Amino acid sequence: MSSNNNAPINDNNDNPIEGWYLTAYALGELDQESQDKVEAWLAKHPEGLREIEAIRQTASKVQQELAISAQSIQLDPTRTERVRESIAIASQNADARKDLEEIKRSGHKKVRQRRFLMAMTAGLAAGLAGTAFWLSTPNSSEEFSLIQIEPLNARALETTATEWTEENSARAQSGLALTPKSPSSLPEILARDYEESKTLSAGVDDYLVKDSKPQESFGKKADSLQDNVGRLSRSVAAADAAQGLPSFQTPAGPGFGLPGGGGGLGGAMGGRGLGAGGPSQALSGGGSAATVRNEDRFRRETGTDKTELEAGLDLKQDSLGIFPEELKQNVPSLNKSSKANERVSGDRFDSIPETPFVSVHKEPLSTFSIDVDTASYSKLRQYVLENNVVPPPSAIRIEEWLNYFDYQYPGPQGNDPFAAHMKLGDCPWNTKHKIVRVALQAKKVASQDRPKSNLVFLIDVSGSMGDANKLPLIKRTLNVLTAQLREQDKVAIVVYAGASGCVLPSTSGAHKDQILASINELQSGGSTNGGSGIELAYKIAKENFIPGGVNRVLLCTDGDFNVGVTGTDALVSMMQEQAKSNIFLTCLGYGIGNYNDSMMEQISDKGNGTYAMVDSESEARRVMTEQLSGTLMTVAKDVKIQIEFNPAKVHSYRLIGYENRRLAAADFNNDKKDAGEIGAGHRVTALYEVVPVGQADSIPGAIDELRFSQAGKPETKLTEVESASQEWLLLKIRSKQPESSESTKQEFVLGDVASTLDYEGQQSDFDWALSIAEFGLLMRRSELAPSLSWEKMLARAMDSTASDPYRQECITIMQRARSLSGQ
Amino acid sequence: MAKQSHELATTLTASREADPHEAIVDREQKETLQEKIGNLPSLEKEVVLLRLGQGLSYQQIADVMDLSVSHVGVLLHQALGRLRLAMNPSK
Repeated sequence: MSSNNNAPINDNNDNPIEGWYLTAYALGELDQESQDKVEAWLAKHPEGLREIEAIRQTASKVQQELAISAQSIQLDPTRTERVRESIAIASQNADARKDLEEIKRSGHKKVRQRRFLMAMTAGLAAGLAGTAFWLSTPNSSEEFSLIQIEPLNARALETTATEWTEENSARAQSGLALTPKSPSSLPEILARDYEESKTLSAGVDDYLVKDSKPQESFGKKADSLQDNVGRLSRSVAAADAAQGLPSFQTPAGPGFGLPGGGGGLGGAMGGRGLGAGGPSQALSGGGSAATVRNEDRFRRETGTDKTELEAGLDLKQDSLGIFPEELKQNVPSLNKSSKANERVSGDRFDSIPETPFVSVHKEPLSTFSIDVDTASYSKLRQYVLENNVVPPPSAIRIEEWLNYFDYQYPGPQGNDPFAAHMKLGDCPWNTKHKIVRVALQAKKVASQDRPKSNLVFLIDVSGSMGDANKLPLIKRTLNVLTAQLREQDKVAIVVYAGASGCVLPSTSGAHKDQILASINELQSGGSTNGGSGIELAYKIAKENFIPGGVNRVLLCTDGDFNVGVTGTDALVSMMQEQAKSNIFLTCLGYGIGNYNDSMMEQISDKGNGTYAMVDSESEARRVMTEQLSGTLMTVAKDVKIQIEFNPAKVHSYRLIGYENRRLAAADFNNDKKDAGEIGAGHRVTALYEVVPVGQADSIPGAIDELRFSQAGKPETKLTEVESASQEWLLLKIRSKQPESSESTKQEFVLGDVASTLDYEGQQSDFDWALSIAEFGLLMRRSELAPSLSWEKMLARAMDSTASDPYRQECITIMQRARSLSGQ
Repeated sequence: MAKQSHELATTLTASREADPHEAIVDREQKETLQEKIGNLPSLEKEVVLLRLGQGLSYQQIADVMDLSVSHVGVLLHQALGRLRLAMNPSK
């Protein structure tokens, strides 16, 4: 099933691949075609997965070794020189090359003193930004390159950056500037830089305490400093090139103009944060901040993943002991070991960019579609508990983690489809910020009270589904469900592989024997044509349609359709078409390693569906028993949430998670715009991180317009209503009854009172949600949360498990993930 | 200088370990790994440093070292095989 159309794996008995493909596959270096080849091979040789895992682990260890601990590995001197020069040439940086020549002529090789380069991402840093290199020259008596990388707390260091810049500016003006014309002065100055850096670093904790505002002074001076900075950074680059380090002269760029990027590490960072940037981000250093903001672009341009570059940034390995403890504590955690995982598995995930803070003045409305999917959490569990690796950040959808768990939110009164509960609390990872929790609780329906059901199972029985965690698990899922069926319920089973067919016509729940027999006869084999199977399943569902009942197709697959209608877009539009018939969809994802997560999410999203991942028998039981009503019975569809923030209270905000569920403000009132559905008893939890008015300087990273809008523009006048109000926000919910095409609206206000409704266990619900969010942010290596803490997160989580077995299991996952992340 | 910082780094690494015995084992393993990387044949060593130390892609390494991408792939595959053996001599 992982084969492409041209080479169905089932037709070839063996299709050997070259050994090195496995390593390349483990490192994510193969093109699509070769990747398909390897996956086809793996489908026949599952033992290869172990091999790949072993390669991955070795690579990861080597990577950590190379990146974290100091290392002195000797390269063949002639080769070293050649590689270094090649890197300089590859940089296509004419200046660097010219300077390289010049420096060579003037005998730079006398440089003995290792340089200390610190890059600071002044003001714009997104959480970490620091790099230090020590290196000796090729001809020195200690012949090695020692590269040590240290991330620093950006907010603390930006101050240092400012001072340093001023100093160098002065130096530049007094004629000591490091211009390419005076390369002979490099050694002394570089040596001096090193000493200064130490001093400056030692003073960093003072600045931590003082909470000065370096960004501002920084901004003001940026313009006048530009020329000098430009010159300086050029010569630093030249020196880098001469010494085999890449040069960084593209400050606005990702900071990796070169393939060799300073150990590739976010790094290199234009020597001490000096890249001549434009005024708005002058001196941003082209370091981490730029890397973060330009991550996607960087990926496109270099084909390298940012996480690749983050590996090994570990301040805790401060071998010179020059960074104060506070700094080390504040280093945002980097998930070193996960780095290698990012590309190892055949699972496909769409990348999820982290939502930045948004100014309320700019966008007072935040609109999103609800999402009750839980697959991402099951996926996490599978990765961590079974495969002993952390999932790639792109597989982490925090909203699905939040929504996996039970919360005790009270249900709605009367005929409302759901109740809303809001709560305001402190933000654990940024003390100046607040967290607003928005929770919806759908009407609960006992499973015996659910309406008659017309269910059609659409089961992928293609070759790759034979794994124990796929078809056999589907069978167990169906067995569990069958036990729940009542006489008035009907079940049909459609299978698809190369061809699709109906193996069980719609059959009453009274005939359980017949249903079970069909289930147990299911066998895997063939390639996958999801498209025609979907058509057949919907056809049967329509023929047996129960007005007012549950009409639902349940798709069980690993999501890898590879014959027939295979494009995600084509499948998605097909699902969209089918969804109009008031037949709902549940996607149940099985398996790991070759699992098309993004397609599953999209088709369930468009097909009026929900999406859950079944990774174990206990999860099958959960979906098919405890949550059966919710799985089967939709109480409202196209549920949209819009929040209007009060600018008198809220400066800016960001929605945690729900990245793929964002809607335009205008979509809220547009009934044609599809959104998520909510099943009986389902809960939706969303967290906003809110920056109260007056705390704008606590936002990590930067919101571009802030600097100017605050300095340049007069304060926007608040209306009387806004300023008089003690309300934080207005929550609006639109939803449709399951078979209706018109929506209704509900409104709720969050005032200074902490919660709209008190109930027992609400604090532990809130704390649990916070812990899950923090866990997600840790795993996603959020750049926007400066003081994430595994310890505090775990402590809070443990205090709020409320004897819920799923929460308890999650604690285990958290602990395991922490150690897998090397924390 | 470099030597000194290396020692410090090792000490720091060790001090974070809960179990001193583990710390020693860990350090020994690290030294073995470091040595092993250092003892790789020179082409393999370069590929390892460029791919896993510097984060270059196969293609970038191929460009820099003037090799074919598949040659880079083979070199890295061999190197990792050797290192794996070094890390798990029993297996």
